[in-house]
Amino acid sequence: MSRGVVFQGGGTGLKIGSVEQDAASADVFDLLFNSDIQPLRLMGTGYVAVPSLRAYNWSPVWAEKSSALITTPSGTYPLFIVAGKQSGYGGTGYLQTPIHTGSLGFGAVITSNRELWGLNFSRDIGEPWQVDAIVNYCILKNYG
Amino acid sequence: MALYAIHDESGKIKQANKIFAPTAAYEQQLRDLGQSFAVDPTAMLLSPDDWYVDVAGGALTERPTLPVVAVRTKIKAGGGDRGVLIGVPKAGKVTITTGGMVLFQDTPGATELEIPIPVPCVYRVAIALWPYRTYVAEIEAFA
Repeated sequence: MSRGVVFQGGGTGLKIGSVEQDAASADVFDLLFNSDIQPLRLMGTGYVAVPSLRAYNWSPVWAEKSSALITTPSGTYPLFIVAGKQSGYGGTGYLQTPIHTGSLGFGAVITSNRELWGLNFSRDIGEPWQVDAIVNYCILKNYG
Repeated sequence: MALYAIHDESGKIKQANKIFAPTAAYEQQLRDLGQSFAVDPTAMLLSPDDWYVDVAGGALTERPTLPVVAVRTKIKAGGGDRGVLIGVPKAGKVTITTGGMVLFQDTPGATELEIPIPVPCVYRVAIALWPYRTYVAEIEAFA
């Protein structure tokens, strides 16, 4: 029966102090994340304001590009967590995790070149303008 | 550690990024994207509802408060009773919603608003005028 802890080698950037330890006999410090190899650190937090749609059809021109993305070292990956405040008609809205219903929603996508694009699927009806959705995010980075 | 507040030509914050280890490359990235931004070395992530960038001075500034006062916020539904707001700026955009649905959005150009409500419900009245904070009041109509 194997009780080995194999945490790297599968492509993950997460690292423990020493690989392939037997959990039953290993030194406890070899099973902790090595302090010299921090697996993840908070790189930054932010938000981007995204206008509501003025038409039925969604297209990339309605996305709002964030500049929050920072070049990360080769072989490491930024992770993203997103929350936000949906559009509304002035004085409404509160922070929540992204929602996507049949008629509205907001969130963000990460593009292949590591840009974050905020999305807002709320559509203005008639002339009234909705306030922008606020898409929050934080960026975690594996510093390898 | 630094807060980068990226704003439009009016000073409205469109993005804010709190970077814990800022680099010259990041600032260059913002410039390459053609973005205008203010930098504050100590501020936390600031809400665009409460803050803006004073474009002339280039500094993060608290948005001032509108001098609107809701003098009557509980009224009887139907009939001649009215909710009353005074001190409304003539250029202010007024948005009235109930249950998330917009009932009215326009600039009436009056300093006093009288709002009748035909059925028992709550009207939310928002008054927006840049760079002031959006003023919000609720008027409740009872049966």
